[in-house]
Amino acid sequence: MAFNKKNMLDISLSKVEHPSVRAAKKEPKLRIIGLVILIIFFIFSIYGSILIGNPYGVVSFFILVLASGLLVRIVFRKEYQLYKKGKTEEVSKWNMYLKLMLLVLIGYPLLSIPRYSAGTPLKTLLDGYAALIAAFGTLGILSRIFVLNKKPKLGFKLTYTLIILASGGASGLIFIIFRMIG
Amino acid sequence: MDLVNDLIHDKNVRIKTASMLLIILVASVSLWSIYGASVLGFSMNYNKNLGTTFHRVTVNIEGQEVLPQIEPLNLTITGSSSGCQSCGKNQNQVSLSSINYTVQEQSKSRSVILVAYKSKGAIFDMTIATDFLWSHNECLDDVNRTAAFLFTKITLGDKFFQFYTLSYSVQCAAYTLTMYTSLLPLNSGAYNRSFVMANYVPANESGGRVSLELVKLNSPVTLSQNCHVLGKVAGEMGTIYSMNRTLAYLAERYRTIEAEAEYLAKLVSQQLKGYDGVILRNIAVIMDGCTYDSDCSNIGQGYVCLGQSCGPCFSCSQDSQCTSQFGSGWTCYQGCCRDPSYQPPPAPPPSNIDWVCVANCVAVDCICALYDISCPGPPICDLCVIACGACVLLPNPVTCGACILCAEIELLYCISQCTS
Repeated sequence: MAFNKKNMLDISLSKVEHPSVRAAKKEPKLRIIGLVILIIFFIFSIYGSILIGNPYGVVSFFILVLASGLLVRIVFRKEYQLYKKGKTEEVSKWNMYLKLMLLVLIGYPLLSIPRYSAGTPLKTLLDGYAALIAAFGTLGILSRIFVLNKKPKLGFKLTYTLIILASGGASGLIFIIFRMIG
Repeated sequence: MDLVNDLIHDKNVRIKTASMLLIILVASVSLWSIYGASVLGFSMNYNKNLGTTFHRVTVNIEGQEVLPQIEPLNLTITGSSSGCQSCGKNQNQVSLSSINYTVQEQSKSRSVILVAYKSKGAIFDMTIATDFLWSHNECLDDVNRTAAFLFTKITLGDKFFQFYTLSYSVQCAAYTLTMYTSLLPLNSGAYNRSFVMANYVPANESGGRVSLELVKLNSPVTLSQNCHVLGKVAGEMGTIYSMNRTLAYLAERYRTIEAEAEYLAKLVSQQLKGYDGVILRNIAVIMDGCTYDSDCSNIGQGYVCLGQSCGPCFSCSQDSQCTSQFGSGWTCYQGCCRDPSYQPPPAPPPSNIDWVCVANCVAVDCICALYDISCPGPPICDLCVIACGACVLLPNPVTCGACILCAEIELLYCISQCTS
């Protein structure tokens, strides 16, 4: 009997993955996506610095990266601790989304102040704000529908394909708005 | 101590503290942006007029440092489509037929021309004597550079007027650049004033808008230093234009002017030492020539590209009308008289995305966070870097989704700005 129990336990361990293990497998892919985009922005910062002829662009990039580090440790402190402990499934993504949305709502106007004082038209800044809110709103709705309800049948790839397609559509609309305003 | 611990462990206090820290963080980034702009020495007022191509540049020189103050120049002139209607009615114009030219002396180093003209019934004799003091020719495979330094004395009766001229011309397949400097002498080692006209004319490029910088130096400089300072101003303007995606095409042209002005400065300091005197008052015009009529639209209504520069349209239907009015070589093109240097422009390029412009747009938007000299776009890139940093540190669908979306919006914004 004991022998059989051990065998059953072995079988269950080999065939059924714990949710945190499954989530941990997805994370490197997501991290790579973020890293690639970050590297692209870094390359553009170097290009911008060359264009201007001083290293301020690269410096600003590193300050922003530092700001994102501080953001994670301050705003997403609880989530980060859970992530470090490997309890990724316990991380409330909806709360994270709300905090991120709040960050955009507060951070964008604050970042717009120096630009406005430096001459960037208010209309351009408002367009960008509207575009970001629309895009993050889309992200929230899609996340709510496809990611946060934890439907086991929906695969990772399918979910993200849908998100990218839907956000592409939303972005297409934003592009049209930009063109119309421009 | 317990109170402190309680406060630290109290959830609400933690959230409030985190929010405050976040606000302080973002505000500090904003303040850094303002600081960055002020450190760079650019006037905020300038940036309130983004996209202008006419500027007044006042240059102060402190030691070896050239400090240009740039402000927009309101040069809008409203012209009529048929040009000046009342010109010539009340002016003392000299009829061309009444002028006689006689070459009295012509050699490699000197020429003397006697000009006799009739005005109000009286005959005047004017002598124009020109001494060729120095010349320089450089013919390379891709570029020809010529420079000359002349002394001209115009004598009219017992009065005379004398000045020096430094002319510099660079010709290559892509452009023609001319720098013409006139110098009024004060004494043997100094000049009273100078006027420089630097004109860049693209060969067959899409023109865009015509630019003009009126430069005034507040400090006396030598002739070679004057060229050097103008080069610096052109370089500064090039940097400013490179920040504006619709005017980025001007940046390369201004950098060419900068490089050639530096080259001329070196030539003068090395080969014209005897004439490299101090100039008390310096004024210069740096301009970019036109190719298309649309290049001149920002000057005023009815302005067209006459040849190498903009001017009012003088209506015509055939070439003979232009030649009879302005002389041989003038042609009639699209209902306006054009000077002999005018070449019909190539057809404008078809509507497409300018990917170099997109790259510049993203680059400028990304470095604007702290280096806010003239950010034309919204601060999307700043948020993208923060979101992507969060995605790397705490990867999950929310942070990484925000990163992807943000990058997408930035790209779309730049594509929308750079689609012709």
